[in-house]
Amino acid sequence: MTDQAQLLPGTLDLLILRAVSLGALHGYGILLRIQQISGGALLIEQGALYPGLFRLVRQGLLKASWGTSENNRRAKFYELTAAGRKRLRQETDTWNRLATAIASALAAQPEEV
Amino acid sequence: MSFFSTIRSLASAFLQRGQVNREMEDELRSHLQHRADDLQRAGISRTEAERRARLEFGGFEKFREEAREALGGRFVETLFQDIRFSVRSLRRTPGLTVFVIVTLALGIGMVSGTFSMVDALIFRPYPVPHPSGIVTLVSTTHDSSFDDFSYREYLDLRDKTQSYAGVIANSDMKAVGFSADASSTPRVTGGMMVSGNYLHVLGVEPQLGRNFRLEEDQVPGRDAVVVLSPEFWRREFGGDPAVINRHVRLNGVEFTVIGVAPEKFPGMQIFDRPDFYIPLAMAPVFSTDLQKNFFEDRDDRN
Repeated sequence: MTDQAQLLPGTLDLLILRAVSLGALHGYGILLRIQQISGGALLIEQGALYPGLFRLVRQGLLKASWGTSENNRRAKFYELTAAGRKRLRQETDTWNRLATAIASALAAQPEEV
Repeated sequence: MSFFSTIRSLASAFLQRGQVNREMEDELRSHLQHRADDLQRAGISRTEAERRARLEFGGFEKFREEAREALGGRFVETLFQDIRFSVRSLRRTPGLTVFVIVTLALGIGMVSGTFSMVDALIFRPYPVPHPSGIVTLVSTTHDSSFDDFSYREYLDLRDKTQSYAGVIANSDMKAVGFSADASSTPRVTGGMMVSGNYLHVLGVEPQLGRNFRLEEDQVPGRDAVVVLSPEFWRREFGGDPAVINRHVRLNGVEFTVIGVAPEKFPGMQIFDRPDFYIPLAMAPVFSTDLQKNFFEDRDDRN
């Protein structure tokens, strides 16, 4: 538990979009997928996922439909819309720029200043 | 947006909200079951797995609230909160609130009062077949330029003028005691004394029974017959067609019901609907002043 990082505000949406971009998933599946692709390094409270999901649906970035899960249970599956795909690209770029900038700022040595 | 479509969208917000909430509950429950499935696969009993899934999920209620907000289904709740808030604010300043309400009430009352008056006076035609052919004759006397006619004057007008298809007369009766039979307690009603040709000239035929006959207003006090208004007929007799030829009492005097006026004829008055019509010749029965002779006195304009 201790080596898991708390999410930065606003990054949950990006992670959801990314997880769903790899194929339609239901809520619990999204959670597992995020854990899997982040190498289990990110801590997401399970309940916190749903407000995020509904928000993305309302913004038209995700679309949802009921289906049957691999456990043979009824579940709501989410997939990216065209707008969602576009948003994921933009957010990924923004995040990469930000991460690079922060990383290089943190890596700066006294003699480089 | 009109009033009714506002109501409709409010109603659908309520209905959809129920559906959206149900769907959300289903989804959250599905999540818990999937998690429990995984835990069960790790070798935990089903009940324990479900309990743990619920614990791991975190504050169920809190997330449900957040999710509901994210769904945008909060419109109605917010509206009610706003209403409650405004009521509380109004209660804090009772003086101002009362002042504003009274001002609004008076304003609305005055406007709607004026409107119903104009509506009745100008927009509504008389409820007769040819409303445009009706004129009202007004008497001018030395002390009034807007007076009634005496009965003698009416007779002269009726018999000597040639400009009209017919000349009718009527006189209001306020507060007449009506009882359906001799034993029941009289009730206060309002009627109208009319000339024998009244309904006939207006082109109004009773829906039930017969019209007045012309000779029924010739001899004072002889023909105690009454035509009921449709509303009064329904109210007092439950719309019973057997009312014809029944004897009723007006101020204790027995009258025979001869007809019921049609539904579309509520009377010629603007703000008052007579309950019944009786011949003008029955006036002496209701007179309180025995010295007066309504039929002879040319100056009796009351």
